[in-house]
Amino acid sequence: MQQIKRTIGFYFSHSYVTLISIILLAATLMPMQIILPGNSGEPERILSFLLMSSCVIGSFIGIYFAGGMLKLKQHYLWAINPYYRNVLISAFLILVIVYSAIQASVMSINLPRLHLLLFTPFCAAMFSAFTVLGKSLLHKTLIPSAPILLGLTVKLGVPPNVILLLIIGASVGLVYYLFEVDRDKVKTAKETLQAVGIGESATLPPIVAKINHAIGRHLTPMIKKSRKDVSWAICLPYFKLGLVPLTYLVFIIPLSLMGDNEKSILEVFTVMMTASTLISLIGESRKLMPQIKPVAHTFIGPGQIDLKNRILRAVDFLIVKNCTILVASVIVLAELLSIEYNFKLIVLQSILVVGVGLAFSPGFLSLRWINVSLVLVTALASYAGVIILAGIWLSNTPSDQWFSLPAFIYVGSLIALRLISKTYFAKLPMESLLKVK
Amino acid sequence: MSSPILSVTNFSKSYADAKVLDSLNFEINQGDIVALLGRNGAGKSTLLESIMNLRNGDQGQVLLWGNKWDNLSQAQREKISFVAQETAGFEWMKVDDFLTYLGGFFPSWDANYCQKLVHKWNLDPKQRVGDLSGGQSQILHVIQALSVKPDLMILDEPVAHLDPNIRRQFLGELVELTCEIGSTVIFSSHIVSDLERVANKVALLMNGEIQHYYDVEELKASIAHVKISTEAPLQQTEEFSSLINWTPIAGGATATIATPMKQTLDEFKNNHSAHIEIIPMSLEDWYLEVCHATD
Repeated sequence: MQQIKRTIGFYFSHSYVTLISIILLAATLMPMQIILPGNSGEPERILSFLLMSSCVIGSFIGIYFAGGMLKLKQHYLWAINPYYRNVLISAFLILVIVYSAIQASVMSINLPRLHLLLFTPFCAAMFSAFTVLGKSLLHKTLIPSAPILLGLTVKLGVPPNVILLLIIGASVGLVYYLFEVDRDKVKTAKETLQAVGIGESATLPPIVAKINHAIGRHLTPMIKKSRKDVSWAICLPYFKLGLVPLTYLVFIIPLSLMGDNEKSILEVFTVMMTASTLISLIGESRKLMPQIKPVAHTFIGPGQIDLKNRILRAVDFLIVKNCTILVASVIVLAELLSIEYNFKLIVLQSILVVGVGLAFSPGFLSLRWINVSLVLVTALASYAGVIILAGIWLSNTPSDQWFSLPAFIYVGSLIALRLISKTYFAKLPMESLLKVK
Repeated sequence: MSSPILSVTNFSKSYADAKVLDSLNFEINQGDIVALLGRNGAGKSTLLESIMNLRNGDQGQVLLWGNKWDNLSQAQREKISFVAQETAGFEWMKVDDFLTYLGGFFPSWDANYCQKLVHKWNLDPKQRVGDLSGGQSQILHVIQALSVKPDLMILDEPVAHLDPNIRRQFLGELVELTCEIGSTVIFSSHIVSDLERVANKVALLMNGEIQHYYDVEELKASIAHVKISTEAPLQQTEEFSSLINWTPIAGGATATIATPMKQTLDEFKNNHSAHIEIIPMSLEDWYLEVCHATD
């Protein structure tokens, strides 16, 4: 029990800044779960709000504590000592269950019907934990998206109670999976490198790495010839970064086709996906930055500032390019499938999200791995995204009033944030930007 | 004779098309301190991690105390400690939190001994693990491994990042621990001079197999450079077939005795008609000569 208590402590403390972000998120949404539905007479809206907000908090809770567990899983004891494994999993489950109980009790105040929904916080936490704990990219995407796909079967006539029972059953199955199946060997970076071969990436699946390698081999000489700098090493050889928007389309298309309200699904998911596109992009760029380590020391004084500006421009370019591709693809898709959509809303909201991305990008590139995790990056950016969406939805502002004073203040603050973080980025020594430990 | 504490039989492991371990056979007895040598990429880490059940082999088996990993009791598992070549995670913990936490998983954990080592090797208990240097991080994991007071300790290049002072102290602790509780140790290292101080056995991993496995003292007494003096350059003959790196020179030949022979060096010297000069050789030279012979 002592070891479980210690483990719980470490799960809480593995990234205080992220924890504070999640507490802020919970502290914002949980009181709203009590107050807002009481003021609204529509049961559907109450239900949607309770479900969505509890899933958002539950997902972050699941990802955060799973992140702590993942860090402790790296020790060799995970592979050889059943006691260590049981302690880690038990501590994780205790935290998820305690959170779920608190969340369920808050939800129960205003939940109009379907009391099985009280299990949704637990399910959301369990499924989202696999975005971190999943063994492969397929696991990390398929397992967390399974409840959404199951939920969509309601359109095929499956009763909601049955779907809920299936989701709850699957969550219990994930608990079993953690205890009984997930006993992987430790995969060292060295082994991954040997598996994919020299010249390829240890961070990508072998097939993607091979595509990168093939493309990079032909593109690199041209890029080096035309741009006499190394900013290409941060972004361009990694084909994956350019594939992000197209990957998200794979999720949007079936959602648009299966839902009975394609218009809102398209509008909501486009903005959400645009936001997550830039998060993954900045996260990957930070990971790839150490690639320029062998040559970074040759840039001094103005040369170093110039290099950093080029890196920033390369990242900005990819943010804008990826978001443009995503939004353009969605619009083409909607036209082809004759789905109604609000062009102005999609474009304006996407610009808003891209603006947030450009404002934050120098700051994100400046953060060091030692102090910050990708979970924090995700949490902060998603928090900003949720605030943007909540602001737009809750205020219900007509589109002709978007160009008002608050909007200008908002844009002004983004520009200020961009300038401040860019100055900070320019002042940081190159070594600290490249520091990976 | 007691059964070996560790037994590796016909063990093979490949990465993509490269076979790193090829039908490898290897045994270690209770109380042995075995130094595992080999070039970069020879498969030392793969072998040690396979022994620790951190990697699956393609074929063959690893037995600890005569049991496969699946059959090892919890108590037996808790008497094994391991230091990996690359350590990650735990960055946000303080040094003393890290040690207390991991110590809690080992019933034989000696907290006083652990504190003594932390103090002796100048680690700050309140420093964050992520803020430690590469060497300090290695010290921390070595302290964790030693404080378990294990029956079997497996160390993958444990001294690679340590300064000579700490390295000596660590090797001293290793010997003391072996004397005190009879621990069995297997460690890989590129610093051959270290193994002379602590190891009683040396294993050389080459081409996927343990090609040389000797008692250190026996090996040291048997290896030498030799200079054979004759009137003309001398080609290698049957009677010198066990010598390696044979090089004919103007007045005879030079070569290396790299494996223990049935006769002592003196007997070897006296049993031949040609004049033979025996030049002592260190283990490091022996390692280089053996590697050179396979090039």
